[in-house]
Amino acid sequence: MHKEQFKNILLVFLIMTNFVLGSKILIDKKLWPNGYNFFSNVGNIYTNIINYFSDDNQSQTQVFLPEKILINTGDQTTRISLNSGNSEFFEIYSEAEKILKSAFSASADNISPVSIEALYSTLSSDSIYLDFPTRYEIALFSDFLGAKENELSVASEEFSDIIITHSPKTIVYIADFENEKYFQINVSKNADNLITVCNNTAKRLSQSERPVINYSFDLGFDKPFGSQKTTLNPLIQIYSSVLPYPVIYSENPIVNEDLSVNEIIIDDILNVFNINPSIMNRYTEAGGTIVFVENNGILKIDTNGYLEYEAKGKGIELSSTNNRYTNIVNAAAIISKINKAAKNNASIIISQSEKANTFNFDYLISGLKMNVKTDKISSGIEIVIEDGYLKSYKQLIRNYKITDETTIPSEYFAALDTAIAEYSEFMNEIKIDKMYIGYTDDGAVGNKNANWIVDVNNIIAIQ
Amino acid sequence: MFKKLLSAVLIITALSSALPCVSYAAFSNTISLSEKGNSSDIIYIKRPESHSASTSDRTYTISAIGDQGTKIRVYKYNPSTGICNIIKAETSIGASGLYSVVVDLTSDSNIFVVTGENSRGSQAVRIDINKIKKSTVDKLKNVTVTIRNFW
Repeated sequence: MHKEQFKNILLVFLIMTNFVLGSKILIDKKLWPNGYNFFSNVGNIYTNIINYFSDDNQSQTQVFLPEKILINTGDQTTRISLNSGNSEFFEIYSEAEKILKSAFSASADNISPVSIEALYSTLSSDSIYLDFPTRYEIALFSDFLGAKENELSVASEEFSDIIITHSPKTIVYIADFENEKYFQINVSKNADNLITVCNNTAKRLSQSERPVINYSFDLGFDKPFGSQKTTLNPLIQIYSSVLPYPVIYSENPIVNEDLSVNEIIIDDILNVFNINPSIMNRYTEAGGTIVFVENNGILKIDTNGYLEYEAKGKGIELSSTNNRYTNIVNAAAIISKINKAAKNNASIIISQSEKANTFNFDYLISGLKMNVKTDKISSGIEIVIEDGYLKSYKQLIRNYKITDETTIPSEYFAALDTAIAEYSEFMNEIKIDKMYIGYTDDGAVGNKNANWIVDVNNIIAIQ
Repeated sequence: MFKKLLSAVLIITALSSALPCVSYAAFSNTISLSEKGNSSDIIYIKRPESHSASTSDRTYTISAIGDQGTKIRVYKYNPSTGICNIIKAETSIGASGLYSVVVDLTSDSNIFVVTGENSRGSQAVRIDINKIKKSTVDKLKNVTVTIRNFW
């Protein structure tokens, strides 16, 4: 009897051990040979279904938002600059967007050219200036607004800035400084809600110490005189003082603290590119770059978090329609998924959309742009989409965390002078196209301080 | 005779060396409203271009351009004392050649003097900023000028 009992106990023990060890092998990916992760694949199908239905549309549409909104009050002392780090930014833009939709749908009767002086006059009185990060095709922006075919694209192909005035009536001004075309559009839509939100914002923010903001044209810095070599783009904002900005910590989520590769994040990223882990080939190059080769393309991730995907053949189909707006939205959706996989909460903004098939995006942290500049990429994300197919994708994958520390960038003219000093010896004319506060990521992990970013004759200087 | 000639040469040499220093003397912390300097092309006031302006705001931004290294100071006229006191300490124009400063408008009539100095000389420019009510500014904006042809 004892012998039988002993055998039964041993049998039960062996069966239980079998289940425990077997489940460890099936669930724990570290015990699998590379390339085989059946349950992970099944799990990922489920994850993909969930992601498909819970796509973050907000991240896709935010790419078309202005980088800054300036509320002009007629007085320089009460002029206010907002970015997406301010809580009122989205409420103000939401109201402005309703007016823009009406403007971009306007008939030819309501559209007329104006002089640049008329434009400047609006910025010196009650108005809202939408400062976009890039030039847009009118047709593309119309698609984003959901505006029907309009006459505006006949008048002008592109724009770089929009101004909304609301007193005494609502007028939208579209500016294309590069081609020196400026238009006003009379809008029937009432701007009362927009005015209310702006007034409330101005009242709240006037309580705190803020710098005086002037436009370059205000101060005559947009026109050369005498021996003046330097001119500033007319709408560059000049700040009388500088506020403190948070220090941002940049970390590489691809590599764990123990310097091992985060396989979970990599698996999630592979799913975004429809790379089948069960049939792909995986190997590691001498420098530590992991390479995934599959029928549809090659994906590489290096140990610094730089991701590069090159499609084979036609590429990954994103849409049956080859429409620039759809391409940008789909691009933003991919970025959103990859950022979600990497636990990156930063929003993104489109920084270049003028090239035919290439779109560049940058990260926004607390409303400020993170300028990524490494030897492999010069923006946060670069995507090539041809005929609705994803052809290539490049991204420096990062998590940006806002720390409790703050720093104060240098004073405006000190930064401008330092930037120009680097180029003044070999440039007769120096044109500053952009100057703003932002961050720079050179690829190294660690703290990033806010600095002035100066675009000197299309060369970026950081001060 | 020789000693007198030598003394004269030495005095002339000393004066020649000292004169450039005399012409490049720094403005002090107070200056007279009538101060003009000894040159008229050291700085160029961009705003206000006519050297006078009116505003309803409580601050005003004065802007100027000048050669790199030009030292700039800003003074405000005190009517009760009749002299101009320095309100913005000396700064140098940098490589951009651009300069701007925000001044407070404490009364209806505000007179400022902006001085510039470099190796070529010195210059002082008077700037008048009048403060007016916002309602007046709004009225002026609504004024319509109709031009009629008479013939």
